[in-house]
Amino acid sequence: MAGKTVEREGTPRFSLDRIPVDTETLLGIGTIIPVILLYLIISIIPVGFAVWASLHEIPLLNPEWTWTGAGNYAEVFRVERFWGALGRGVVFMIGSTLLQLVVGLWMALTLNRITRGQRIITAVVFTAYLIPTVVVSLLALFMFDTFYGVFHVMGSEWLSIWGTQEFALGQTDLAMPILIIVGSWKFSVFITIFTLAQLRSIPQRFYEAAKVCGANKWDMFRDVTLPRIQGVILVAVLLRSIFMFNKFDLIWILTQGGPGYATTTLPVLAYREAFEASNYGLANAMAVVMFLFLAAGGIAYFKAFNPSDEVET
Amino acid sequence: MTVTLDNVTRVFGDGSDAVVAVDGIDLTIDDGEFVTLVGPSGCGKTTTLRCVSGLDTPSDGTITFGDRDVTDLPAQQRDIALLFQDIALYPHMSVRDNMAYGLKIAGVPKKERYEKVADAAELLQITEQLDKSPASLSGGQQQRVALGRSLVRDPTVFLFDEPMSDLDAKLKRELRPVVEQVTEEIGCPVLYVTHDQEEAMTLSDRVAVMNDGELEQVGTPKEVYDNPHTEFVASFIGQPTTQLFDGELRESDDGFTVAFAGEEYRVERPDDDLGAHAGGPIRVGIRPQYIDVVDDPSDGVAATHLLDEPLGDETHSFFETDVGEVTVVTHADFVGAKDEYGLVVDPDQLMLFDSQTGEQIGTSTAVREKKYAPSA
Amino acid sequence: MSTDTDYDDIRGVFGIDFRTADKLYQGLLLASAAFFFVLIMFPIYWMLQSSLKTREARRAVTWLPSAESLTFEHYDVLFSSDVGLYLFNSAVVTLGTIVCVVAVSLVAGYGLARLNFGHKENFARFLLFGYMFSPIVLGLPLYLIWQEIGLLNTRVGLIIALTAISMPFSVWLMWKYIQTIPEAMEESAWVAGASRWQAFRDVIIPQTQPAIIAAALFAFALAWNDFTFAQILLPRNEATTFAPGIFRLINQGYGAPWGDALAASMLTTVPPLLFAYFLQSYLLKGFQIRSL
Repeated sequence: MAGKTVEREGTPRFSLDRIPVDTETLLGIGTIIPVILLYLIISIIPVGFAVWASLHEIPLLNPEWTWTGAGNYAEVFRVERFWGALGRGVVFMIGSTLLQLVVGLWMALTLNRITRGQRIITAVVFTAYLIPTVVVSLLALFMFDTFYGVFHVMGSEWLSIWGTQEFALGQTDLAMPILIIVGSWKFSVFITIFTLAQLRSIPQRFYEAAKVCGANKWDMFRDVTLPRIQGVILVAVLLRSIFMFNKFDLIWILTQGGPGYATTTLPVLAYREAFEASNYGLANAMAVVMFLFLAAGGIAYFKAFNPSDEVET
Repeated sequence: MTVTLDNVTRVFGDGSDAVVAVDGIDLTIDDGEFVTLVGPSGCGKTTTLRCVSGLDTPSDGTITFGDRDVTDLPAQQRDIALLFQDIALYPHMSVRDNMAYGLKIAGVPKKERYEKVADAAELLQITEQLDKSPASLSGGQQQRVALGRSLVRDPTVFLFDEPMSDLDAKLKRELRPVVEQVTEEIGCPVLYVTHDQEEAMTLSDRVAVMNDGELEQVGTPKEVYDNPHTEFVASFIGQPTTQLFDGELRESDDGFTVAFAGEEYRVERPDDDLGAHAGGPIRVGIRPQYIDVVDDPSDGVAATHLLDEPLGDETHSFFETDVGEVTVVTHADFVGAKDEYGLVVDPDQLMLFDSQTGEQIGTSTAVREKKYAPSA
Repeated sequence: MSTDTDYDDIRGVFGIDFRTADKLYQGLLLASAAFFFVLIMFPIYWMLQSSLKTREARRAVTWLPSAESLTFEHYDVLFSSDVGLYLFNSAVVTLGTIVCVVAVSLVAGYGLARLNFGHKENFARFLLFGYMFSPIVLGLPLYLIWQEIGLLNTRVGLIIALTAISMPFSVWLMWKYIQTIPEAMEESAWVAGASRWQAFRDVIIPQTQPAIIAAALFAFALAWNDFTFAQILLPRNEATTFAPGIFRLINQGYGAPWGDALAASMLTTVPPLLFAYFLQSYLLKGFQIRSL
């Protein structure tokens, strides 16, 4: 790639000869200024604010900021609900990601090879991802509703998993699994899209060469397909884990963290702490801890798997 | 073990959309024989190869390896080797593992696998590359690795699908003897597909010329060159292309003459085919090597010189005549000067073709043999 | 001479011969496709048929609305009541977000791909970091900032927020895609006398169409789907978009208007369905990551 710009007529009208700055660098930075600005407003400043707030005690109704320094953080770890919420968050994250990985991968492999009706089935699968989470949640609420819900009928009358008057999402031992399943219905497709894109890029020749060498379907999957998609899968799994750990809207709409605290993950806990217990500073401290947890996990993940190396083809 | 293709046909699509890619091919390849399927793009040669390999199934006809009917057998079970144009080496495996792959699938223990790989690598002179990844090799080296992958498996049939199309001229010339060496080493039937007629001529024991799904001629390189069965073969084989003209076959008391480009020449053919075409139009072909250039334009066909392409050991010269542009192979020092010249043809080298079917009328070799037959 | 292999030894998976294995495989493929089709279409279908039933009919959990109970009344919701307004707001916000996202990421992507300045990879990775923060964390600060700037309760404010959230992904997408366009194309335009901007407009933009569509689709998915930010930045009912709007509707206590909610939900499902069918190849193109 050429590093030198060619001298020609009719290039940038303004001249920056007097300023000892490379025009190209300036232009380059210029193109990303909007992005930087947006990022500033939407991430840097709010995060900074949140960190600052975490060092204070802030009752929301009477917004007076009292410095507590690390006091909030100490309290965060003492709050027993915190550890429970962290644990549940991890359960939700791992359970969701695993289910999404399996289902998503299976869908991708199917979509890659199916010939009849491929367009339609692909459209159907993609639609699941594009439907707003709110709709998915509401639909789930409707289908589990004790009066109107078809899943309710199936679960109570056909399979006897719960009683006919019991709301499935209100059962302590059922709420989390149902959450995971409902979320995965939509989010598995995330993995499917990533994997399918990569699968389609594998040239047919590789499979043919393997066939000629005597490989059967399993050999071909293990030796041709898998090596090509493992990079993408690693990246997708990382992203899904982060998103699932941070997920708020799905859980809030379906259970509000209940029954009791059965589905209260950290985002839900932070929300409640801020708006119900009116403890804004503490909530922010929790949020910072969440971020650090994810950051630590992310770094460990990168060290262990190094997805960036894998994806280069 | 002989590979036999019997009336192999492959049709794509159905009804009015049907495309006949391969139309009733009959071909045999003996043990140790190197046969090349050559023809222009889209003639069906690759499709035929894929049927032999098992990656595609013929719509009609049979393919046998020895006494085994393999027509419907999947590729995995045919014990063949296939070299692709775009090589298809696995980027995530080392060269050594790439070469060992077929053996790995067959369940050969690691030590034995790597031993065979080492032997093959030595033959192909890529021992230094064994631990590298394919991406770091040049195109020519990659093809050697691909060859090695096939060599190691000791296949019963060796197939090539235009393996040199992506290589530059120099690499092609380097790789050709390697291919010959490897196939000789294995000693099995070889079917090679290419659109490059020079490759076909230099590598093969026999050349099979295909056009539009059909086999036009099968023969040794010399046969195909000297005695093309059809106009297509005459124009496809040989560089520069055979010069073709419309002409007329005339019969007189003395015998037969062929008239074209304002000139008339006597022709003889040992068989009596000429009689059927007398008085009618025919196609006349002559190779540029058998046309002479003389200074007097009234001698032979009048021609205006256009340009020269000096190649060092010979020159290709282009002339404009009343019957179109003519290419002549002249001597290395020839310089045209855009002047008027005469083109004189050696009548013994004329090839005659039916203007409708394209089939050769008589055989031109017979004529030559009469003249150049070794003294008894 | 080649060794004599026992050809029957070479077998398919589990030792079944290849033809049978092939048939089984095809069967498995079809069964899987059918399974997924039902898995995804069933809830959507249920939503559709329930929205076409009267309230009483819904109590009886049936597969199809009966002749009497078939009704389109719930779709009136589009024209009457708040829901129509919510949908309209959603549409406006989504459209605005798409436009902004495409514009900003195109420019940034071009800069990253073509212009030489340091630390590009790190910059892009840094952007990705933003995703690690849960939106509710950013929620209150954002609320306060927006209030200061006067963007609270405005659709424009939400558009800016959503555009910012889409940035990391779409910038990355554009960058990597523009990298695949040969510089020779712009260079021939420059040689013909075009300025950098003209070359960008006439050569790059038409060529990045697949990436633009992919980015637009991604922005669509994000904006159409958004709940959290709309909830926080559009607290007043009139201004809000579909997601928080419908949530409030359902949560207003007993007698949740399922009919209206389902009808409205169906309406929000239609655009995704259409895009998924017609633009699926672009979605795939956009998600082809080559390196992180």
